[in-house]
Amino acid sequence: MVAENGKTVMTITETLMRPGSWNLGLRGDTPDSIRTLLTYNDSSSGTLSTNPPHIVITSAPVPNYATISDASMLALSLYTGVVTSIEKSRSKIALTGSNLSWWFGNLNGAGPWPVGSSSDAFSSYFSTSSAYSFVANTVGHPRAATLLGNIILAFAMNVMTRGTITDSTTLGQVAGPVAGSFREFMDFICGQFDLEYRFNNNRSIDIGPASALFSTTPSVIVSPDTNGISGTIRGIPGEMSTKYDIGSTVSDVVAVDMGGGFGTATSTRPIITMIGTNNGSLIQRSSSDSAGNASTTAQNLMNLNTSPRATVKLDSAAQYALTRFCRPGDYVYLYDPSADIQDSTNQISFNGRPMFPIKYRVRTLTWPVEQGLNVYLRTSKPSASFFVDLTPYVVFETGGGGATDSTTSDSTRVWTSSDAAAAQTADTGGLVINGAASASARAVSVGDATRLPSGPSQATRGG
Amino acid sequence: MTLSIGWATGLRPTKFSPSYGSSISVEGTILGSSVNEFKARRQQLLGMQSNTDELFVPVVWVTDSTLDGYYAVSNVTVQRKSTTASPNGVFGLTLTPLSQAGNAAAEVTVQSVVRTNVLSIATMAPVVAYALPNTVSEDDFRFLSSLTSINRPAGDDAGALLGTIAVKTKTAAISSQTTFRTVTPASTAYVGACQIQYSPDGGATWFTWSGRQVPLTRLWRITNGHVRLTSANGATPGKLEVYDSANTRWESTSIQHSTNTSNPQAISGPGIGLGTGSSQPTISIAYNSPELVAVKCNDATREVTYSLQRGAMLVVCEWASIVSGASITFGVGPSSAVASTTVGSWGNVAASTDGQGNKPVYGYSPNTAASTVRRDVTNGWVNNNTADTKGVMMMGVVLDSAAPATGNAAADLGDQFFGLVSWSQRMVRRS
Repeated sequence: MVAENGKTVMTITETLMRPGSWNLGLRGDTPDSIRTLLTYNDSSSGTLSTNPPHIVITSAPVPNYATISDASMLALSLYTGVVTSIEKSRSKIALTGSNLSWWFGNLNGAGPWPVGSSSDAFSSYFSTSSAYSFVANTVGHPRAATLLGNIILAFAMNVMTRGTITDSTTLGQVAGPVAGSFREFMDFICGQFDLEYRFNNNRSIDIGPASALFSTTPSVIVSPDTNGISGTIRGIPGEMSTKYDIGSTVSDVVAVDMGGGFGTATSTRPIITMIGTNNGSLIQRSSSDSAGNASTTAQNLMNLNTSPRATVKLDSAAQYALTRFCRPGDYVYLYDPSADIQDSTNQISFNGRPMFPIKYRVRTLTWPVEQGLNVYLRTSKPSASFFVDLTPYVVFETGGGGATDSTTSDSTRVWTSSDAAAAQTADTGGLVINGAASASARAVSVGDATRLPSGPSQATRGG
Repeated sequence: MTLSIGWATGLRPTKFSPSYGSSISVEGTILGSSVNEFKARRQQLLGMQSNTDELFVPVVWVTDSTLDGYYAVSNVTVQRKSTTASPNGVFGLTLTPLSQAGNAAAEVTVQSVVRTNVLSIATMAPVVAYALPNTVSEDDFRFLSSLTSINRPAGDDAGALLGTIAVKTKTAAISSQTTFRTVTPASTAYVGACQIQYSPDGGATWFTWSGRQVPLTRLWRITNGHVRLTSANGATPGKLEVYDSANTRWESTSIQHSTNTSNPQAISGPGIGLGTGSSQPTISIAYNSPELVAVKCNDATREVTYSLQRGAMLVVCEWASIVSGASITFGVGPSSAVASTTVGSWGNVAASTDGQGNKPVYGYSPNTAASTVRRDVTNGWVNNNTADTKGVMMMGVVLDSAAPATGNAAADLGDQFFGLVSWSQRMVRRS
C-alpha cells in the first residue's frame, strides 16, 4: 500500500469475515538465511510442492521463538497471516498476504471443498429430497453452526480447526450455491441462519451469532478527547466524520423481471424540489433476472435508497496495538457531536463528563506495523526452526497509532435472516449482491475488490 | 505593567513585540512572592501549552487593555532565578491571537438529558447555559427557548466578589445538540470559571492548576466561584463551601464519604479524596476547562470522580468499584450529625440552617433498581441501600435557606442533579 507521499505504508487490514490484507517490508540487509526461507518451493518430501510461509505478529517479544511450539506461539499472536506474495530485490523484500481465511477461499475462489460420493457423510447434511439443500431444523438435524463445524471437523480441511460453535435459534432449509469456495459457502449459510464466523489467529474457526463471538456491549469509546480508563470503559482518542449523500436517493423504483412482470415501489419520504412545494421525482428503473420477482426487487431497492445515505467513518484512533481492545466485529462507542455522532438515548459518563455516544460496529480495522511489535516467520521446514524472527529486519511504521476505517450506511445495522431471505428470493441462484457497498457485509465477495462473483446466475445491481 | 495569561498572574513583560493580528513574543519576569508561587506560575504557564481543554486563554494587560483578548500560548520557557527575592523567575512565550485579539466569543455546545435513574425521576431543570458579564446584545441564546435566568455571584479565593453571571436553567431536556454564544472581555472571562486548585503548604496558600498534568500534592479543591469542594487533609475532614456575596465570604460545612450499612448511625467512611485520616491518594485530572473540571482518585476499593460545572451550585461525585465483581456501599454526608429532612426520593437537606444561614443538601442516584437511597435523617448522610458496583451522588448547599434565591432551593438542586448536561466551550471569532 503506497501512501500519498510515495512511501510504502506497512499496515494490516482486518475485515469482519473477509481475508483482509497485510503488507510488510524487510530491509535489503536481511540475511540470506532468511531470504532462502521466503519461498513457496518445498522439496523436502522429495516432490516439489507449494508451501506458503506465514507471519505471526506479537505485541511483545517472544524470547524462546526458536523452540516454542506452534500452538504456544499462535496463542500469543496478535495477527497470523498467510504470505501470498514475496517480492525480493537487492534493496528490499516486500511481503503481502491476508489472514488465515485465505485458506478457505483465495482470490480466485479456490479453497477446500468436502468432496465425496452420495454415500459420503457429507450428503447427510443435505435433504434427500433435493440435491445441495442444507438442512437445519428441529427434526433430526443439528443446527446450522453445528453443521458447519461438523463439516470442518469431519472433512479435515487440513488448515483450520473447529473452534467454539454456538448455534442460533434460526432454523430452516435453504438451497446452497453450486460453485465457489467453502468460505463463500459459509458466508451464504451464515447469512441464512443469523450466524457469523471468525478465523482466529490460533488456526481455529468460531461460528455463532454475533453476540456470542463479538463484544456487543462496547468496552471502548472513541472520541476526539477520551483517554485512559473510566470504570469499565477504555477511552481512545480518534477522529471521525459523518457523510451524507443523496447520490442514490430515489422516490420510486420500477423493475421488470425476466418473465415480463412489472413491479413498482414508492417512497414514503417525498422529495422537495427547488421550486418547493412540488414533489420531486427521482425514478430508478431496474430489472431482475428471475421471473416473478419484479415487485420484490423494486421494494428491496427502494428500502436501500429511500433516504439519504449516512456513512459514519472513523478516520483514526491513536492507540498502540489497537486490536488488543477492539477487533473487527466488535461494537465500540463513538462520540463527536460536531460530526453528528451522538445518541441522546444512550448516556455514559467518562471521567466525570457525560457523553451520549452511538454504538458502532467495527467491520474493518487497519493498523500499522509499528515499532514495538514483533514479527515472526512461520516456516514449515523440518530442518529449520519452526519460527524465525524477522523483527530486526522489518521496516516499521514510525507514525505510531492505529487507524480504524469502517463504512456502513447504518451504524447498527446487522444483516438479519429476513434481509438475507429478501436478497435470496430476488434471485434463486444463490449468490446475491444487494446494490451498494453498504450492504456488502453478507453479500459474497463484494468486499474483495479483486474478485467478481461467479455462479450460475447474477443478481442485478440497482442503479 | 503586569500581565495575566490564563490563570498565571503577576507576570511583568520586559520585552515584547506586539503586532496587531499576528503573534506576539513576550519575555518577562515572574513576580512570585515565594518559591511556591514561582512553582505555581511555572506550572500555569507550561500547562497552557497544547492544552486541548482550553486552547485559547484570556490575556489581560493591566495597564493597557487595548491588547486584551484571547490567545493560544506556545513556545513557553520558564527559568527560576532567585529562591528568595521577587522577581524569582523569567519566562518567554508566544501569544497567537484568535482572529484579532478582542474579536472572540465563547461558543458553547450543550446537550442535556434526564440522568438515567431507577427512582423514576423524569423531570429536571439543569443549568444549560450561562451569560458572562458582558455586553448583553452580543449574546446569542436564540436556539434555547424557555430559559429561566438566575443571577449567581461568583467570588474569588478570598471571598471578594468577582462578578455575577446569569445562569440559565431549562425544565425538560435539550435532546439535540444546541449551541449558544456568550461574549465577554478577557478581564471577566474567568468570572465563575471552574478551577482545580492545590495547596503546597497544608492549606495556607492555594494556586490554580493549568492543564491535565497530575499534581503531586494531595491537598486539592475544585471551585467555580459559587461552590467549592476541598479534599480532606489528614484528620481534617473535607469541606463543602458556598460563596455568600452579601457577606463577601466563603461559608463552609465539613463533609466526608459514608460507607455505613445501617441507619441511623454516625457517619463512617473515607474523606473527600478518599483520605483515611492519615494518608490520601493523589488525584489525576480528567478534565480542566472553565466550563467543567473533573478530578479522579482511587483507593484499593473504588475509583471516584468529582466534577463541577460552571454555574452549578452542587458538586457531583461518581464512583465505581474497581475490584472485579465486588459490590460496595458508598455515599456522602456531614462529618458531624446534622438533623435532616428528606427531599424528593433522592436526598437529605438539613432540617435547620447552620450558623451561617445555609442548609447543606446531599443526594444520591442508585445504579441498579434493587438499590434505593438510604437516608439517615438523624445524621444527614445518604448512600445506596443495596451494595452496588457504581453510583453517583451530589453535594450542594442552599444558600441563605430562609429565603433561597430562585433556583437555589433544595428541590432545585435535585432538578439540577438529575439533569445530565454535557457541554464543551471553544473560543471562536465573534464577527
